Amino acid sequence: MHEIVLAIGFGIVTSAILALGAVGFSLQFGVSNIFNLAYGDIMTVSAFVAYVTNADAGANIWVSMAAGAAAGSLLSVAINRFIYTPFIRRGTALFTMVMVSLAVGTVVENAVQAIAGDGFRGYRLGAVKSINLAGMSFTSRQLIIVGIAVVSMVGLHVLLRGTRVGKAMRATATHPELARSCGVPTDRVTAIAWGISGALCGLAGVALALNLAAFDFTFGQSFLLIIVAAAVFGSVGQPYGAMAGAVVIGMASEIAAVYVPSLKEVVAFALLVIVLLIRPNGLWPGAFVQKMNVAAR
Amino acid sequence: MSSAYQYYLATLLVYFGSNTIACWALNLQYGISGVLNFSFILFQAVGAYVTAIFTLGPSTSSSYQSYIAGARLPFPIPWLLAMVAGGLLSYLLALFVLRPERRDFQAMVMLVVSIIAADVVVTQKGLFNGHNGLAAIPKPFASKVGSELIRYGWFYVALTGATVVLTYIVVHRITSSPWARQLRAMRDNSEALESLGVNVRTESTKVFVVGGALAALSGAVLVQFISAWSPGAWDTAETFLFFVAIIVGGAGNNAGAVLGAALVLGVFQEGLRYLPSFGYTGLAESIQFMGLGLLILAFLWWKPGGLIPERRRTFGGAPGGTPPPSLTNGRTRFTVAGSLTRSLKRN
Amino acid sequence: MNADTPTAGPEYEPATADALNVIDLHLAFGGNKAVDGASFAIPRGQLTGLIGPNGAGKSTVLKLIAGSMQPTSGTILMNGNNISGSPAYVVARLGVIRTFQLSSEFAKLTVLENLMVAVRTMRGNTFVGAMRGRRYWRAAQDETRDRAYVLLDQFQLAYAANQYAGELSGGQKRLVEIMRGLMAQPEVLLLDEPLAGVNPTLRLVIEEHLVRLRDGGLTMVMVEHELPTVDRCCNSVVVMARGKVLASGTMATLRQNREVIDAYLVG
Repeated sequence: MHEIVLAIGFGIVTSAILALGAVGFSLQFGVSNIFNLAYGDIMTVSAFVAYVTNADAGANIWVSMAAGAAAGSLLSVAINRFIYTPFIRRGTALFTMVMVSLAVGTVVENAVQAIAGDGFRGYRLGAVKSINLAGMSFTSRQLIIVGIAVVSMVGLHVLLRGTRVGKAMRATATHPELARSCGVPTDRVTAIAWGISGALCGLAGVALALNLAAFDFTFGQSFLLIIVAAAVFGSVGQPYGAMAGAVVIGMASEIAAVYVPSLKEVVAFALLVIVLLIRPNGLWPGAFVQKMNVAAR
Repeated sequence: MSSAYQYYLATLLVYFGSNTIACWALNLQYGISGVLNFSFILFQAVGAYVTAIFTLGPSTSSSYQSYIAGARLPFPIPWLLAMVAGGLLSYLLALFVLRPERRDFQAMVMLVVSIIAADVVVTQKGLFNGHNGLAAIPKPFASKVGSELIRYGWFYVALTGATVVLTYIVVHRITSSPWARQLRAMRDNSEALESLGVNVRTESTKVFVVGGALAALSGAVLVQFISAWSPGAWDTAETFLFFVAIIVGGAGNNAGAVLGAALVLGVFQEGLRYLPSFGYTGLAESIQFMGLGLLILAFLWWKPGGLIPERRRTFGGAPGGTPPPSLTNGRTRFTVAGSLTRSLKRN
Repeated sequence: MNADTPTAGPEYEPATADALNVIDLHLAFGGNKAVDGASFAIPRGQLTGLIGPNGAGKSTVLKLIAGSMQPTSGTILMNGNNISGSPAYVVARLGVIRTFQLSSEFAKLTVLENLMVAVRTMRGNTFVGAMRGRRYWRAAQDETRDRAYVLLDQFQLAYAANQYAGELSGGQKRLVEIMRGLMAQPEVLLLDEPLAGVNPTLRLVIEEHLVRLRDGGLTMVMVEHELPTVDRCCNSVVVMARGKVLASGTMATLRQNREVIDAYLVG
């Protein structure tokens, strides 16, 4: 019983990281109708940028996180603007875009390896304190992660529901043609969406790196599939669904790990496969995935 | 020619043969039918494993490797069993996985299945000896040809060549047939094809199964030459290499598949072996993969059809569209009503 | 069928002169009633126009008939057999072929191949057939090719036979889709806004072809917005609004129907 409570604690942290990652991923899919398989590698870049500011420049964790988020944001916007959008404008088929994003991811991942090398790195943040809350054990780092995740989710909610930009993003995601004919500057809105989701991606990368003792150039991409699982579970393209998916998958995999440690990842993947087979649109009510052969503009 | 060089050449040729068969298989699934089979390498692995257990002998006879089933069957039965296994796995996968209708969703599911499968094989050691894999796999006709390395090597090259020829006959018959045209239509717009009466699920399952069986055959050919097979030989990066080969060589046609196999899997991979190593270990490899990624992007942008793009098919008419002589029959004009009622009425 | 009396109730006596009967069809999803009890008959050998304001459910009804979507309730009879609920490929094999609102040609196939692929039952169109080799299916393919050329000639597109369908203009693509449907030898051809976005000259050309097909005896249903087109081509019309059938009959009769005029027609 005590282990389950502990597992719930781990689940909260994992869900927090997953939420940051999955919501960003989902936003990108919602607005551009493609799976950005370079997402995990952008997380890696952000984690390394944060490492550089932290270990080499001696900045504290907050500055490093901000630096990571900024890196993720810039890189995502650049990739969308200079690579994805031109391919989409040409009428590239959806299934080809998967290969495009994979190729981009490969280039980014190996660029990181070329520059930063093979080795593992860890952030320099002083001694790790352990805090006990209601039977669950957290480090101060983990509490920061959870805090940032919660703040980000709330901020995103406010953005999507309360601001014009947010409404424009929702309109572009649901019906790009209609939005355009209503005067919404869809190109700019798309860029903003990629900027925001890129920042979330960066935060997720730094958060993930914080949670591990050490990370190398592959760690982002190996987390990608679990992020995809969470996003698809909650209906990819629906940010609130991604939040729900993150909680479900985060909790489920940590609790499963109590019983069968080696199956942690498999549980997440199995859930993904089951959802895709039974309800390909994901579990978020009313979600509808377009059957179009071409990605949205 | 030194003996080491001869053996190296023989090895290259066997790999080339196996990769050609694999590329033809992927071409059927992806190039012609448009299914993004991101679990492709799984089928080659199945073929290799099944061939291995049916040549190694019963699992009880081995003390240091454990695997399921097993028998000592003569050539070519293990290869045929491998193809059956590949076909069966494809069928199962198609049943469950071809259901989400978007190709990129399908791709995600297949990728995940391939990862889960790798996980299962590594953790369940009783299946195929886990992480260490199977080794000491006997070679066919070893006693007849003799175990002299180079002589056997060339014999195996000939065996591979024969297999490649037989595969080509099958693959060519498919790709030049009306069925291939239907598959290409399915790739372009499956909803429209469905509205013409074609059961798209059934047809895509069929081509998937054929591709899976051939991919398994490529595994069989490979495994009995290198005599060992472990999870390291079939990680997900291998699937992507095959996709790169098809994209570079030219998806949708057999010649392109061969070219892709030669260029990417042959020249690119082997060629980098000869570059001087620089920097720290791993730097050369990362630059190699960066190059691969940029190569894919370049090809997808400038030559999405590949080096040998799908050729336009005409059917006895000049490219301008003049009907062949058999139609005009000496008349210079058609009677609209007559030919219209003929073509509209059901027989 | 009572061609001159507008009828709109859910009670229908399917007559043998009807190719299709739609009876009390409903489609609702997410609280939205796309089709709300539509009933009408499609007379054989005529070009029936399906008209109505935007959102009336016309395209949806066509998709329901073709099996691309499944109704929540209702019956669709074809020659007396109930086809509602059957998947699209089954309905197509029974002889109901549809074209699409958005261009749905096979872009990377040539125009000729687009037409040839519509002949599903041709030898060589299956795995086994393919494996039997060229000698097995060559003659059938040649015959299909010849038939396709005849059709291309009638629609005056023979010059484009070997062009990729994706490279054609919008109007040409429409023609290719119609020809493709014809190659499948349909009993009923469903046309979903075949003239949308086509330039006026090509419009008239396509209309001529449709009239020619109608006069040749082909049963067709066409969703159309432009009333002049409906006037010229359709000898039978069904008017829909808000998911229901308002009236049906000839254009002349409908012009005199108060309801229809109020809801839709402008003079």
